[in-house]
Amino acid sequence: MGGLGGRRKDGTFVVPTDADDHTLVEAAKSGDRRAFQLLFERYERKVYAVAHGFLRNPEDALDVVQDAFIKVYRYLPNFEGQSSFYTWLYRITANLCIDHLRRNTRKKDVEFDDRIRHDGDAESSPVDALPASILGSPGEAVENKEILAAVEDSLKYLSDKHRAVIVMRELQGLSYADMAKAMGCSKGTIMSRLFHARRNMQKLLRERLEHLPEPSEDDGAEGLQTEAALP
Amino acid sequence: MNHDSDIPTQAADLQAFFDGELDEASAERMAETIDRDPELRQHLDQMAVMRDLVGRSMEMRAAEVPRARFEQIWDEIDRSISQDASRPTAAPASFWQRVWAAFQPFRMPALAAAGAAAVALVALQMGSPEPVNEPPTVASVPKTAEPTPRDVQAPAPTPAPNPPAIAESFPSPPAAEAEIHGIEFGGKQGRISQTGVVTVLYVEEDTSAQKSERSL
Repeated sequence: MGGLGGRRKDGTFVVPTDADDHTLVEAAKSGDRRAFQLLFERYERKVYAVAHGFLRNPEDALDVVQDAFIKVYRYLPNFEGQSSFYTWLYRITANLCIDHLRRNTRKKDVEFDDRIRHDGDAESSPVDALPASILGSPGEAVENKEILAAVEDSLKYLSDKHRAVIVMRELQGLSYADMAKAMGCSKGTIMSRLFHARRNMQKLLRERLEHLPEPSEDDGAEGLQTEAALP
Repeated sequence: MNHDSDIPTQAADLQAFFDGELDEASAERMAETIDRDPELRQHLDQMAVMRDLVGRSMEMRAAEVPRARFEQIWDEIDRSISQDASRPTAAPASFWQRVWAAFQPFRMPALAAAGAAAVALVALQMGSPEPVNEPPTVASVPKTAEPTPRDVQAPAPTPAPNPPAIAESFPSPPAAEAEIHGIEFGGKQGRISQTGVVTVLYVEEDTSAQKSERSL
């Protein structure tokens, strides 16, 4: 824990703004509203990113952020710290998003079933390979906002279930068991869903990136070429 | 690792390896396999790139939300927490409250059963041959003939052709001297067969008499 705390006039301890999660959680448990606000400020955008990843709607995502932190505060006395605070927070967020999706089931322009494959069977993975321009040095590639916009657009065309597993795994880092619990299905179903979601995402992204102009040497294109590039 | 049947085993293992879901021994074997197979290495790289891109695209979207919007959200959260805190906390339930709560699922059936029992009891009472808690009757006051349900249901008794006269209920006393000034008997005339000093002991209708006042 960094930073220095202090004591208020009433003798209560002032938690420093850079205190670790555990310290803030314990302070919030004892009624320190400021400590809980620090937790909120620390994770507000991460929780929003997850919620927006699930729901694709800014206002719905903000509603989930609000509901998630209210729920966290109410159940804080029951949080025993067996998992990290953010894992617990992400689980609550994921559950709220899944509930929201169940309540607002809507049809999409493109609805993928778990088992739909877009390029032959599952063995033909190389067909879905991403363009070489974004492989090998993603840190530089993602500086290009067009690529990120293409990723966002691809996510939009995934089914709710596929997008849910992508967000839970790639952004939240939830285990298969946690994902299965959140979605009310077996681990095997999660594995299958994740496998097909990744393939669909790869295909959608490839289709969008093919229309992007090749980066020139001036903007660091040489750094994007890699021996991992696929044919 | 259990594999879903619709995923090729190697692809499933590769995915589980990438997601850190393999046990240590399986992960070591998979790593060796990947080292020997450039195609598997490519798949692994693709998944890593995808994860990075997805994460960054979502974080980019979150970064677009102005700080003031999150401050508004915090105000809502703070208000909600304050409302929760201002609510009076419920006192711990007493033993009987807990018992009452435990029987909550049975309350409605029990209420229905009690109602049915009450209706049955009332029906039984109305059909009972001996009235319960009937007030004691006074000998000098004739009872009003209030028909009971049983009376209504039971076949009407055949009426006696001539109800016995009161005179037949008592033995005729021996005749003795009496002085009487007059008598009215249900609007009819009659005679006194025996008198005491002032008390009339016996009255009998005399169908042959024509006058209301006569000497005995």
